[in-house]
Amino acid sequence: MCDALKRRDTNPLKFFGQINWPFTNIKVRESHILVVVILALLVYLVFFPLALIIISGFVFDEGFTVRHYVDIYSDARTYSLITNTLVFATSSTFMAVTLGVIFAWLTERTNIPFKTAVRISLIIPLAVPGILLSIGWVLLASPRIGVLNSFLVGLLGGTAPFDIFTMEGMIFVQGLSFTPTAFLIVAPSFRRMDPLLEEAAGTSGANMFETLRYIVLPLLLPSILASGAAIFLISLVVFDIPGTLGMPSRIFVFASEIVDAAQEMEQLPAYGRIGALSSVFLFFTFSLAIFYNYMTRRAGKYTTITGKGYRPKLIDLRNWKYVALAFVIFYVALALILPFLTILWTSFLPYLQPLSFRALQNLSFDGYVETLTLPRVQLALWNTLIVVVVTSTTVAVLSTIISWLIVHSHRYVSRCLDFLAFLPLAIPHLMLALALIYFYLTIRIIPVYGTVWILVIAFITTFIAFGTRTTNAAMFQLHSELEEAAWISGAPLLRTFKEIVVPLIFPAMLNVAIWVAALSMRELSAALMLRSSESLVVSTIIWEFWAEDSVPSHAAVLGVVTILILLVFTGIGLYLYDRTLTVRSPKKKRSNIISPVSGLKSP
Amino acid sequence: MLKIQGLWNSYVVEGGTVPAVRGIDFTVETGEFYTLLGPSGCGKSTTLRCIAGLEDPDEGVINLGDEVLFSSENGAFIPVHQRNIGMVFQSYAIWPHMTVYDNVEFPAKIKRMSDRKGKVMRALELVGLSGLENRSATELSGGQQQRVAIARAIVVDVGLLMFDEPLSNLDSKLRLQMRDELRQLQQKLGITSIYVTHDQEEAMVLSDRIAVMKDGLIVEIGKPREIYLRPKRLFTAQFVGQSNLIDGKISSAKALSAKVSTAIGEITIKTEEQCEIKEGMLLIRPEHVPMAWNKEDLPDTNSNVFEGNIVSQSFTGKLVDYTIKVGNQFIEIQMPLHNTHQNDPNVFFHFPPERCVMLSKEETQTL
Repeated sequence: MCDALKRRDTNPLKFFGQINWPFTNIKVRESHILVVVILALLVYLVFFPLALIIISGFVFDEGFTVRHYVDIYSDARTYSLITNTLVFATSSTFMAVTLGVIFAWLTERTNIPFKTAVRISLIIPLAVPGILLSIGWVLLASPRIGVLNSFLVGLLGGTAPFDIFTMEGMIFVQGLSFTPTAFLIVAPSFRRMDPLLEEAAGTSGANMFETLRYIVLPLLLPSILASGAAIFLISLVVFDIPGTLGMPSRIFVFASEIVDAAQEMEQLPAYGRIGALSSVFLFFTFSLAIFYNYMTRRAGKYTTITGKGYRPKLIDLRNWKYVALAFVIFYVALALILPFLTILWTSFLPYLQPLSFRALQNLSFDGYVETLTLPRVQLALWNTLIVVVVTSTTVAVLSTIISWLIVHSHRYVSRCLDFLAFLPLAIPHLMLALALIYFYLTIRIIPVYGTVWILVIAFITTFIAFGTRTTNAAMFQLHSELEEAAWISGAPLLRTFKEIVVPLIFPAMLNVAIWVAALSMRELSAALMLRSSESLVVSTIIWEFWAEDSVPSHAAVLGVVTILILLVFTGIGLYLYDRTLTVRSPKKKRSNIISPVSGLKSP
Repeated sequence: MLKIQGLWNSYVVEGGTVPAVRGIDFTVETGEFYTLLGPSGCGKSTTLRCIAGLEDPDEGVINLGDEVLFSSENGAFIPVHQRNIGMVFQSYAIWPHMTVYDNVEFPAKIKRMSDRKGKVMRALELVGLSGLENRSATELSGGQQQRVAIARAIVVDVGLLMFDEPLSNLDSKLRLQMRDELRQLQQKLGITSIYVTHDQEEAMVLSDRIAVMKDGLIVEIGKPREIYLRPKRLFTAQFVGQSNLIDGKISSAKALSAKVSTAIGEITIKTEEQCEIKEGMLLIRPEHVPMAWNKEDLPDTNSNVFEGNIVSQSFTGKLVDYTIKVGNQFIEIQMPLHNTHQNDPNVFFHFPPERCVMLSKEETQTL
């Protein structure tokens, strides 16, 4: 025994990851092959495009250069662009997070009436894509044709009081659009906060204010900061709303500038400038993504300590609860009902007309028939179906496999997988699209450029981050002994995966599939960059009808169709969202898990 | 027969590796109930997982019957799903998406057995769950889930049954009941079993033999009685049961007895062979020390009789724990509450020579 001790205290081979079983802690060859395949796939999907963007910023005439960076630094326009983007992003994030926190507090910790209905109606606005929300708001508040404006001018006289084509207008609409996302990220931590913690502060002698200051806020801060970081990250690079509302009045933010530049350029060298500009922004988004990841973990640590089913103590708002309800209704009216009604109204008319009795006579379904029979609309609908189905299934399956490998791999392999799968969160859709164009124009062996498949690749890459966040949470909840029991029973790896793992995390997979389907239907910026006559999808054709061809009624018809489909998706998604919150594990019958909204709902 | 030789296993942690099992050998005979007993972190569960194939040992040989499950010499490794074993987990690991029947049937289904229904019903009957086969697994109580786990492990004829602290999640009454049922079931089936626990009482009741483990090594192997009454290692004496340990030197040793000089005086002990130890600790269990207020009431007054003062006593219901002070030495004595109890602190007690065991200090400090 003593000899054995002297001979070796540790096995040096293991430090380098065990010669026999290099990647995973499962002693089956297949699992190692799988790790290699998935790692290669992630490097191909995520790492190459990212590297390409950064490299392209340093290339000119096939040589290394920093001239693009010099150009950017010496261009005054760059600074106004950065200022615009920061003002836009900060203000809309601030608005969305403030509203989100207020709404989360109202629904989770107060006795606001019709709680379930309120909760659902705060999430439903997710069904309105940014471009349609801004189209709705143009119809409501444009100085020339806005319904609200003409109504108020008719009532009070004078000039139109609202102008939506301004920075303020953009911020307002973007803030409305991001609020449900903020609400979804923050609400679970309000719900799961153990009231005992507050009561313990009370018995320690803290009054209500001190309890809020020293206990409640510090506990909620990580999730509030996480939602802030996530939304700020998206708003730095979002295109839909600044594109629709800012471009007509030449107010540019980063995303609209890139779309504008990309539409004008004819040859590749312009990529240099865009690449350099993108790299600057990538630095920001990357830091934010890491900050977000850190904060969600903190938030998870704080709020998932107990799995007990408890009821948080509710604050009695007394008569103020009707004010609170009115406030929620006001928000829903602005973010969903009014814009949707104006789009609906427009869709029944042959050309833009304000609300009037005369216009009522012109209402008809002709617009629907005309729009939906256009060949390119039919192509777009067909393409959208392909993109949505292929993307959502692939992301659900791939996320499950990746999460399974993350749980079962050796430490460093696991971290590597998790990092690569998380990375797309930091890559704005626009840049990813640019990188893919650059990539597939260079490597023509894979003939996807100009087809709908390049969209599928872009969307899978982007949404894998959201997908793996959700499946990770579910997979970590799965007690390892459940799988081990199946192996012991004689089931090989694949059989165990099929009969034990998949059935148990199926609700999470379905959840991912539904949200990804909704997200890929809403997506505009990447689809727009990758657009060709062949690869039109519904979101890009709406953009074409609205911004380029000026046929608002066509855009409205497709808008109505899109919103209705997304309403269905959101409904199913919400139902599943509640189901995935509780995964049954053998130890505790029901246990809370980390929020499935640790991924992002709205790009 | 399960044979383990020179088993090493270490975990990879940040900055290096930590050995969990550091070269252990033992053999479990066919039909034997064998327990690995030790404090948490002693490597007992890791050993079990190595046998199951859930861990990949660094070195060693594991044989089950004629089959080599693992051998670092020729690189043999039979993957977990091809080993003919059954296992009951600490968390029960009942699959929540299946019924009781599906859970129990699973191993038989995977191994494409015939007459699966008969096998499942027999297994359920053995664990006393007949009639519950269509229940969803999540509707069961902890004790019932435990029974399903056992039924699943025995539904096919396995060469080895393994238990990883299966009773630790049950409440104390149920634990005692399941413990007895488990023993009866194992004897009825006669399957070679290996059981991991940190509960010494569980180990005593269930096992044919016990291997006491500490810091990744086996300290001692023996039958429950040997482990408890005649331990060979200081660690075993301390870990299993309560103990009085008194520093002592052998003053004279004969073939089957010895005299030990200690702080409280000379103590005569009985030994199984000539005592080799010169200096060490003398073990006597608190419940083996008779105590009386009158010297004459002691069962044996010829030798090993000492006088001391009660410094504290605590009433635990079944027994009374006394702490006696003799000079500077404290002795723990456990006695049933009986009529002769007096408030006088001055008492006499006797160390029966056959209950005294001399243990070496150095021997156990190799770890």
